[in-house]
Amino acid sequence: MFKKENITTYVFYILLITGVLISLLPFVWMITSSFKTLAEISEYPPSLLPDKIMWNNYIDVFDTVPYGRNLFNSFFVAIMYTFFGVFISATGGYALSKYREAPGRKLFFAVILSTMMIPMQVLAIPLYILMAQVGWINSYPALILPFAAQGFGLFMLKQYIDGIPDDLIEAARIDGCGEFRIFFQIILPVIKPAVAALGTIYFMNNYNLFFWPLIVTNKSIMYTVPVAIAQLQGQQFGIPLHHIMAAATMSTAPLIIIFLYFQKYIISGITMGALKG
Amino acid sequence: MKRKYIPWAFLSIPLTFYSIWVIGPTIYTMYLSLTEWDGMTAPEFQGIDNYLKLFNDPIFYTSLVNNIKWLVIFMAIPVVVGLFLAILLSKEIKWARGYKAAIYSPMILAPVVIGLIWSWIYQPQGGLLNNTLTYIGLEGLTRGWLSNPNTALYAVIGAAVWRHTGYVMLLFLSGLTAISPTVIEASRIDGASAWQRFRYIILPLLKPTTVIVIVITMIQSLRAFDFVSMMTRGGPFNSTNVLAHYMYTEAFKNYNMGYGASIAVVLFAIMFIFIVMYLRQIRKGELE
Repeated sequence: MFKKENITTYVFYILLITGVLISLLPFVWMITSSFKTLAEISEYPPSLLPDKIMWNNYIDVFDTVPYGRNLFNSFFVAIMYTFFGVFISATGGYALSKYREAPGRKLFFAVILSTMMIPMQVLAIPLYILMAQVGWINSYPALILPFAAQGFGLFMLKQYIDGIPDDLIEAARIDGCGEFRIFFQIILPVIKPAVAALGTIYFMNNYNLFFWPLIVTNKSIMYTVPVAIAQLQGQQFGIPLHHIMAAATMSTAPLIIIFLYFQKYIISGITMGALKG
Repeated sequence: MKRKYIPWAFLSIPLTFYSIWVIGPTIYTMYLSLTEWDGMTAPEFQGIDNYLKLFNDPIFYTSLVNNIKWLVIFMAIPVVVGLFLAILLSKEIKWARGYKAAIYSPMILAPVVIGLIWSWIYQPQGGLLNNTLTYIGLEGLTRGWLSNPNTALYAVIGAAVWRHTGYVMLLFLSGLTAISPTVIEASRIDGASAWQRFRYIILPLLKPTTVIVIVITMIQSLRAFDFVSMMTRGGPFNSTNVLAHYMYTEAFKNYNMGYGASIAVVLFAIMFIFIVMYLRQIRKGELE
């Protein structure tokens, strides 16, 4: 005989495991497909492990496109952007949080907040024209700079710095500490967890960006990974699926590593940005 | 340096960046939407002509309606399923962290990669979905999911829902951990059923989180470009076109920069409503 408690538990786990399977299956399918032959990918039911591991899929990608360079581009752009973005957010957030007497502070904060979620489509035409005029099409500055200032990060760090007691700063001032030294030696170390969370989120978002790099690059050596993958997919008659899957898996590998090591920061970053306040 | 100027020393860098990369372009896009421009010769001012054209453009309406459908489905499925999963996982169970990580893992994939994976799942020949339907004897249901105008939009949204559900779950989970367990315990002692507990205790206490989730879901549903571009490019017959993708096609494929700008302004106007809602919620939080 089943107890009511038991049935609830079974239903509970069935629902949960269904959720987990739906979330993981496409992911796993991508990874296993990248090691299969084209014929084996279409087999049904799909085999979890390939008959013979096709490492060649991974090598062949590099013959068709400058994928090494594309991976480097994505990494470099995402790291630079993370550095700039976090630095700008920290200085701006600090000024808005701790210099409450500054004139124009409220207006500036309002402007930043209201531009926080402007979609890239709204900015794309003027920025593209600007890049074309200064000759920055297919360049790293064009890929990095437009994203360096994002209201989201500034807002998030301001909220975090709000939590630091003013006494700490006053005490440093009385001890004769200069304003910039206060920022670098007192504030920055204290907000380290928030900076790490923001940096992780920034890195992942920028690494995955598609719309802007698609517009501002047209040479395959300057593509970032998402653009390169889209181009591969676009020529699907020339480039077989298992090669594209190898490219996609490779592009995801660094994110999986970040996900496993920085999970704590990802969660706190997402929830801080969305919910703090 | 005078104390008064110090905050502006800190603010000068962000201020410069915002002016060049965000505020300036936004205003310039608004101006461009009042011109006709091919991107090469000088823009020609023509008042609100682009907007008049827009309101008579069937593709604009299709894109707008598709955005709305996207929004409605996004509000229905990921929010409800995400909340449900968050409640399941807020209990102390074995391997809870593993389950959570598995469910929000799709979030780390680039939308482009997700679009790639799902377009091969939807493949008419040899795709995972059709193969599964055939295998379980539902051969009649198989079709070219992305090439059929009746199913294409829902197929694309399906891929986006897959990504968004884990995100929603994560947000709700953090909202749930903020609810004090003693409140829940008290209601249990008072004899509240599981449903009553959810309806009258958990749901009201989750309200701030829910507002944020709803606004973020709205904003995400307008950011459909990556999925559409990767899976269908707006086709077949514009049946999957959305505003962001239509703007891209007009401005960067057909070089109707002025017209593209007017679509971007409409997108901005819609987004602005959501941003105001979001800010009001945040302001409330700051006052408390």
